[in-house]
Amino acid sequence: MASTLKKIILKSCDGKILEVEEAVAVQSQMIKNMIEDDCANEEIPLPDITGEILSMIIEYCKMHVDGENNSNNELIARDADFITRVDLNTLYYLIVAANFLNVKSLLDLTCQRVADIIKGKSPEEIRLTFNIKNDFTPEEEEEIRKKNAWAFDYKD
Amino acid sequence: MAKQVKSVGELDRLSSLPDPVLCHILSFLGTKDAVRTSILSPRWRHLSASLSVLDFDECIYSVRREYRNNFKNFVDRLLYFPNQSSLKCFRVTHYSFDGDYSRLYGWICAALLGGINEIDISSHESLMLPPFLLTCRSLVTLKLDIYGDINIPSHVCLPNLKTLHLSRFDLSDGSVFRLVSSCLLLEELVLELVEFPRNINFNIHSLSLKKLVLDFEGLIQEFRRDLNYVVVINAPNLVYFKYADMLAEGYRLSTMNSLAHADIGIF
Repeated sequence: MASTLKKIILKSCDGKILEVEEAVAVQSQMIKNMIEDDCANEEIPLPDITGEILSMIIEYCKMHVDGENNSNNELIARDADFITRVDLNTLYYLIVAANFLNVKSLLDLTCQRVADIIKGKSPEEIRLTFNIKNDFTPEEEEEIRKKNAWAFDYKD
Repeated sequence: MAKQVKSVGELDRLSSLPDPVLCHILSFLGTKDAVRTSILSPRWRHLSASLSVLDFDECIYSVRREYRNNFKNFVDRLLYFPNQSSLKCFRVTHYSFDGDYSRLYGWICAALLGGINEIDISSHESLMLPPFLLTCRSLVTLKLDIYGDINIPSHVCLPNLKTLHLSRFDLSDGSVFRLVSSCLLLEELVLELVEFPRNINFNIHSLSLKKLVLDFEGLIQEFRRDLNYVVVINAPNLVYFKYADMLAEGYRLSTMNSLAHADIGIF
């Protein structure tokens, strides 16, 4: 299996060059497609992805390639460990990068993490957490609450 | 005060993510939490109109009686309007439809006609299911946990089905085995607490099957059954196999060269 030792060269938007084993790089569907189309022989520039984020993504992909023979529970535990170390800012950049590179399991993991942060919070708490500015007029807000009153009703 | 100054300087990066990514985030929330994000800001207002997952796990149970119609109207809007082509998964539990069976029937029909990928229904009572449920080409995952009978029509066609879970049914004949054999892509089959008639041909035949769970342990505790049939399993590509039941008259298993996990309990 000589092909698995082939290196793919990635270049981040801040000029960092990273060499990645093909088996790790193909966790990205985008890079996989490029390899299949024979477009991955030279360095691949990645706009919008910094070296720091790219290193984290490679760490994640490596973890999944190395862990292929581990049990599902072990991988879930490692995923959880990886994602809970990440702050909100980094989480956002990871989502952008996972979406661009099309690493499905990482996109799921990061989006699930955002959902977990949202879960159980009031709208005001969610706005505070993510700095979301409420541009609604009180009338508009009332209209939305009324339309789906069931979702805004608290039984207790 | 210090906190306020800090948040002015910070950007709302989450809201700047593209629609499909935000919708993907919403798909990990229960439907109630997902709908509540519509009030965050105008950016979020219409995202919940194109939810890809409708998960009503006990939704209505936590909604006061006077709002239940409001909830049902929301589901009607989501399912009966044509921009709902994004809906991939429809999941309801007993508590989520308030005993309104005809409404639920309509919802299932609409979801199937819209090209749904996953249906997951659990009910404490017998439920009427649309006859074309078992001829839905778009279905990839079907999970039914329903008390009572299920009728499997003579013509079944689920060409894309990969996961099938059936729990708690009374199966009046062995037609479920015909169903399994006809799903050529089926990878995961779970039959739990399914009551079979006394004299059947218990015969699971699938070349695509990777995971098979036959768990009837709960039935044994209720009443002892006589298994006067031979269990035949022909699934040569199985990786995971769980079996829990009383002793049958005999067993005939195909070779399973890829089997990595087996959990057998005979009582």
